[in-house]
Amino acid sequence: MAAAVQDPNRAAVAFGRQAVPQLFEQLQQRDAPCSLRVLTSLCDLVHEPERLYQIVTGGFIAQLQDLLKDEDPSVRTKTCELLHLLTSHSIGRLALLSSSLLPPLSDLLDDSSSSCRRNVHLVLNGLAQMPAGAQALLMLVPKLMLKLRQMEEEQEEEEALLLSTLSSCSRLDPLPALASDGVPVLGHTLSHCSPNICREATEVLMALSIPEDGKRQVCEEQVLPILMGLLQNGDLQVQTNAAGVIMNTVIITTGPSSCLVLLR
Amino acid sequence: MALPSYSLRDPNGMYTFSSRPRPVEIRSKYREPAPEQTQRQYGNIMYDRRVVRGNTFAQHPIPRTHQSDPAKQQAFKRRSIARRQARVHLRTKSPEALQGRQHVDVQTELYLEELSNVIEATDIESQTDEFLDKPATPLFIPAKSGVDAGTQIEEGELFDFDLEVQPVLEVLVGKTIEQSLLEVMEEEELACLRTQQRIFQELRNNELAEVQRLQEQERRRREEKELRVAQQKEALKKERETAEKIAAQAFSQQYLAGLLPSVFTSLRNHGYFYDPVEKDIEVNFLPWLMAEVNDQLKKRFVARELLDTIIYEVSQKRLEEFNHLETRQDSSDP
Repeated sequence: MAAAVQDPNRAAVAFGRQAVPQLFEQLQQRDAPCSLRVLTSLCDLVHEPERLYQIVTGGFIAQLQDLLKDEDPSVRTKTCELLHLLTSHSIGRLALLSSSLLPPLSDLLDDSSSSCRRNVHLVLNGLAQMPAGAQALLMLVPKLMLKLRQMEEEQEEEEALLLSTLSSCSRLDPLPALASDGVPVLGHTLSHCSPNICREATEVLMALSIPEDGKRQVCEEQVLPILMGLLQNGDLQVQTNAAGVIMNTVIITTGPSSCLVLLR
Repeated sequence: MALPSYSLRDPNGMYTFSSRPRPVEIRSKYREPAPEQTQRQYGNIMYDRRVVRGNTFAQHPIPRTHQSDPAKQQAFKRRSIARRQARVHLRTKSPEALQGRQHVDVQTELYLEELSNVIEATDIESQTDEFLDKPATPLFIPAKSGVDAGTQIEEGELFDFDLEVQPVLEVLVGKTIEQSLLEVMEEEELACLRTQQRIFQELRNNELAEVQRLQEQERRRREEKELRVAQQKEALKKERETAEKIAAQAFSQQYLAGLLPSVFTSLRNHGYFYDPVEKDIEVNFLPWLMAEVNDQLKKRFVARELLDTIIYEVSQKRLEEFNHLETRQDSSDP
């Protein structure tokens, strides 16, 4: 027993089905360095579906709400990582939706620590893949658009995840994103970006250009020239998505006329 | 024991024991050397020697010192002291000595002994010498007993490593490969699912584009139709208005056709169109003519009146004269 190597970053894990409840009991003691170690052990355990099931059915998810508001940014980051691992399974996603964790998570979007924000975006992205999750996240869309507008150049990974979440939500219902000036912001994003972001942004645009209002905005906001330029982009996905947007736009009468003007 | 009993270590470290309640089995006074466990005879506790019977208060009285309340304890102490003092007072004493005599305590035993409170005591001290340096005690090696024996394990005698390690290795490698296969299959499944999703998305996009095109077409057609219908309505309305106007015009023309001649006729009738000569004759000449005729007639009338008057007067006079004559005649004839 003494020869077993104890990783100093991880708390001790009990055997069998006591592992998860005991770790959560330790979490209730609110001891800061201990919490971090416990969370790391939990993240390791959660990769196994049985443990995940235990967490979900044991009702421990509500405890994580306090941890999300903890002062230590690494604790918050680890909690979000745990939630991200939870979203890899359908019961985890359902449990996350039915718990009241979405408002604290959306508050964490403005967090100071960038790794914490990245994990929050990962969680939201995972949730949005599911239709029920996308439905729940529709309310967050205005806030996400605001974040997109404020996004700076260095946060490429966050931006890509954010755009992916937005595309899943907009595929379900494009109206909230359109209402928050989606098309101009995305046009602005498209003009200076890396292939990842281009791909995601064009996907969002494709979802947004389905309603008639979106198509009209695409024509008016001078996004078409940028899209034409993207058709020659190296990435296949970018080209495909740009072509998709143009396909949607030329359905209305002003679409083809503006395109022809540009081609000349 | 067939009956279950649990003893657990609680997470807090307390030892708990629980067992199903079972009746006490009877035990005879002198135990048999091999008591049989199968025969379970439920004894009557009324006849069990181990059960206490009778009044139990006298057997193990509750220790007096075990009092919880300190005030009660003090009161108890005070009461016991008072009781002791009262007992001393109640004890009978020997009567007082007579005058000049004195009571003295005297020993009456065979061998007298000195009674005194002073105890003879002597003090004796002792002190150990200073420690001298002592040499280290020699290691205790017990005397040798028994027979010396030696042994040596040659190579290959204990076990064959290659043979023994095979099953262990098989298990290890097998488990690892199984786990990795599972993971790879999971990843493949995920990749398949994603591909399926993408295919679905593409189909959906195509369908959506078609739907939008049709929607747009429908919208255009509808708008065009509405436009045409509106135009047609306009045209119809104008036509109807024009027809009404024409009808109104015809009717009014017809109505007003006779207006002009009738107007003229009535005007002419009212004398607004006159021949000036005629008018002049009418206005100036004829009245003058009539007036002149009137004058003339008046004159004739006046003349006739005058003549009438003259005739009347003459006739009156003649009448008077005739009357006069008559009267004169009457008077004259007798």
